[in-house]
Amino acid sequence: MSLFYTSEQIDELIREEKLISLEGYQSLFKLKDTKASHKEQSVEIKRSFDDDSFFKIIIRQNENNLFDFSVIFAIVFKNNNQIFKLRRYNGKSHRHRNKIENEKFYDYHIHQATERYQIAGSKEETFAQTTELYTDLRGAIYLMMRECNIIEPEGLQQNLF
Amino acid sequence: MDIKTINREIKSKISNEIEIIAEGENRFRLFSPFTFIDGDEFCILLKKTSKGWQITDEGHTFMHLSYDIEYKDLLKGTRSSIIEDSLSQFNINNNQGILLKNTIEENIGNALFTYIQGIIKITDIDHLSRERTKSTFMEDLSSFLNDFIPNERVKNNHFLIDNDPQGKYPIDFFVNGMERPLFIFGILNDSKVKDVTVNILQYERWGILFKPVAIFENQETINRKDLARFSDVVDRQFSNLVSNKNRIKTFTKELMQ
Repeated sequence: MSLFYTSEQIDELIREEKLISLEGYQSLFKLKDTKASHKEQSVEIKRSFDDDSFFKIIIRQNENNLFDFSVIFAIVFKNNNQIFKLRRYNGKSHRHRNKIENEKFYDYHIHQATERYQIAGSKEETFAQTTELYTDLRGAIYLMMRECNIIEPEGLQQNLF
Repeated sequence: MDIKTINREIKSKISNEIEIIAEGENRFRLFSPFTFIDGDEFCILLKKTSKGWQITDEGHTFMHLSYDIEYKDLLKGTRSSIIEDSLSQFNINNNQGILLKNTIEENIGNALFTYIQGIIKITDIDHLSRERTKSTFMEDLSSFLNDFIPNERVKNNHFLIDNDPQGKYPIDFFVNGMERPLFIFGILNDSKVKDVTVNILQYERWGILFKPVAIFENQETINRKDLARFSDVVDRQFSNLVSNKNRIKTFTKELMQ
């Protein structure tokens, strides 16, 4: 059975404070090669009061086009491995269509899980809006951290110097 | 409305949906109404080459599919077959994840349609994954078991050569290295339930020491009478794979120690 979240539950998951480990944070900027023409990374973040699920950041960067990237923030359930994508920060490499709103655009854009698209039978993160808040992968990662309330790890500053 | 008007309306609508913009020298991006299931349009570029034109996705299609399916899993089983068939049918080259089609200028329209048809067929994998169709269940089960059971401890599609040289009574996953090896069966439907019931009774008749385990795709869909008979002969059952992965892993690891 597919996961279903209401708008309030989605907002609550986004607002929840998340503490990323230093190792996890540093991994966000070290992508791994694949046999395809993109690099990838994924980092898990434990939830402080729930052992049955965890948050996951999934990153993709096309090696042929710097503007083609994706930073996904999702929740994953351990017992069935089901994943629900709360946000997806995309580059500018394709046009997106919001079928309910009957609009299309070619720009950097942020997908977000919505109740209305789930009810319509679409993937949870089908709705997207354009953004001017980043123009590259690193910027998208930083924005995802801010918007999804992911707290930078302690010791980060010391580690930089 | 007469046929000419309908014809004109449809042509106008379709042509309005196609748009090409220049992005750099000899590089053009094509917008079309064809999308992934999340509303993102296919990424299609036209590049002018010395010999004609190249249609490419610059590696976007596989990257997009990898949001939901690990790239390594795209290269296995049914998914891989769908991809290979689509590439072959529509004459598209896969160059390390980049989908390419070369054409001459006079044929660019036809080539483009063919290319888009190929991408549509490949992206069906996304639907396949969402619905978890039966054809991928055994692959998913195999991938799951083989990920945590060491290679030397598991044999897929094994048969007991001394008793069954013709392989009439196969074991989906034979996990060895203990007094009573595990015989794990993936169960998709009523027919498989009946087959595995017969297999288990035959192993017992041969005096084989073993522990039969069944993992259903969805136990709720199985005929109750068949399931009742099956329950008499199987030691342990899991009603589905998706929500029992941790339990199956713990159970198997404990018995393997």
